[in-house]
Amino acid sequence: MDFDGLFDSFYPKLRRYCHRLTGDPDLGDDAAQEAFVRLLERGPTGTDDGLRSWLFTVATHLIRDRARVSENRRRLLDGNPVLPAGPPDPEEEVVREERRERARRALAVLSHRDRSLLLMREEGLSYKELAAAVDVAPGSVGTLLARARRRFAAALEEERDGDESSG
Amino acid sequence: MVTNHLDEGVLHSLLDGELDPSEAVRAREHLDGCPECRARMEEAHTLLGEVQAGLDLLDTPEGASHHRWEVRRRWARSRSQERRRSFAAAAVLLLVLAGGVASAHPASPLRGWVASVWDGDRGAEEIREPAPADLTSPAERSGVEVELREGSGVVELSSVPPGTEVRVRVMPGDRLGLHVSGDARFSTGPGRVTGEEPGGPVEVTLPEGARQAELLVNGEVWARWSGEGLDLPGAAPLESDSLEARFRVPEEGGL
Repeated sequence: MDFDGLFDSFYPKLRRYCHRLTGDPDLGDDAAQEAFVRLLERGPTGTDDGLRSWLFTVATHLIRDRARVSENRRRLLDGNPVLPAGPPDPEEEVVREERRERARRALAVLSHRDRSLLLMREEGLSYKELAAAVDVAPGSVGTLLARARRRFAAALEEERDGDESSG
Repeated sequence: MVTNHLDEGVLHSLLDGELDPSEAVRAREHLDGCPECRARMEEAHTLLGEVQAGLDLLDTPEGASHHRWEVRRRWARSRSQERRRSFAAAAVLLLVLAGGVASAHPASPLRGWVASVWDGDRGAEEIREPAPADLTSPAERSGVEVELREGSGVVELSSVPPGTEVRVRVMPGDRLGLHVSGDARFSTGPGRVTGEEPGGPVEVTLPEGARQAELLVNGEVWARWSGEGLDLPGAAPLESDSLEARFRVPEEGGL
């Protein structure tokens, strides 16, 4: 596969994953690009699944290593939205942003591993790829993912309740 | 009575389509006969929907078009650094090997020097210092740089002798550069640098920030930069990547 083929196949999802995992567009872009450059340096050989798993693993490690957890969490909590193109409807945009903010906060309270699992699964990684990426046995991915989902759903619920009681 | 209920991990694996076919069949058979697990399966299904709805709220970054270029640029830089590291390592190895070979030769001045150092006999008459390294100075380098004009610029080389090596690189900044190892006649204008009759290898810098920048050699466009990679419409390069190319001016002006 040539550069453009690799880029089109993997980069957009990798970038979205990095953005969501960090909550920081700059940090996310940097990690996605660095992971991709490392793939090119290493020589992109192997199956598509293998390459994707490798890319997401490297990006996850880069993010974990680079981001200071407290700073990263603060950014997640503060919110750093990627502004949509075009003029939005102000009221709709306010509501959408509130919901987005709740989702960000809910994600921010999860552990790094739970966040990674949820977001990588969202980008289409298989259990086998997830196992390789977070370094666990493939047989335990279902259980870990189930727990991460419950925690995220509970955190979302808490955020909703918190907003309703304060509003 | 049903025992050994399906655990939550199996339920999620089933919902995600990640169970082996044979395990999936067994799990479905169990679900058919176990109301408790069916209820938990429903819960897991609802949970998946809630999670998906939450994830759908998250940001999706836009505008990745420039990322293709940025990744290429970082890759090219990393390869360039790797080449420099390899070259330095090779040079050190070569020096060590050359030193070893020279020391092994009976007539070598190095041999005597090494022996003397080994023996600590520095005062003896036959001790000779090792020959100094060849410190021939590199050819004198000359050059000019100018700023772009309204985002564009041209570097023009003319009367370039056959066999001359021309290297063009895209570099950060907003200045055109033309440097020659040897003599050349330079002139500059707004967004333009010209060099005539270069007396040695030529190095051209096209600025990364340019909307468009070109290198002309003997009247032909050899390289063009417009922010998306180096286009080489002219001569075939000896080597190239998205940010750098190296040419040799052909005989008889052919490309």
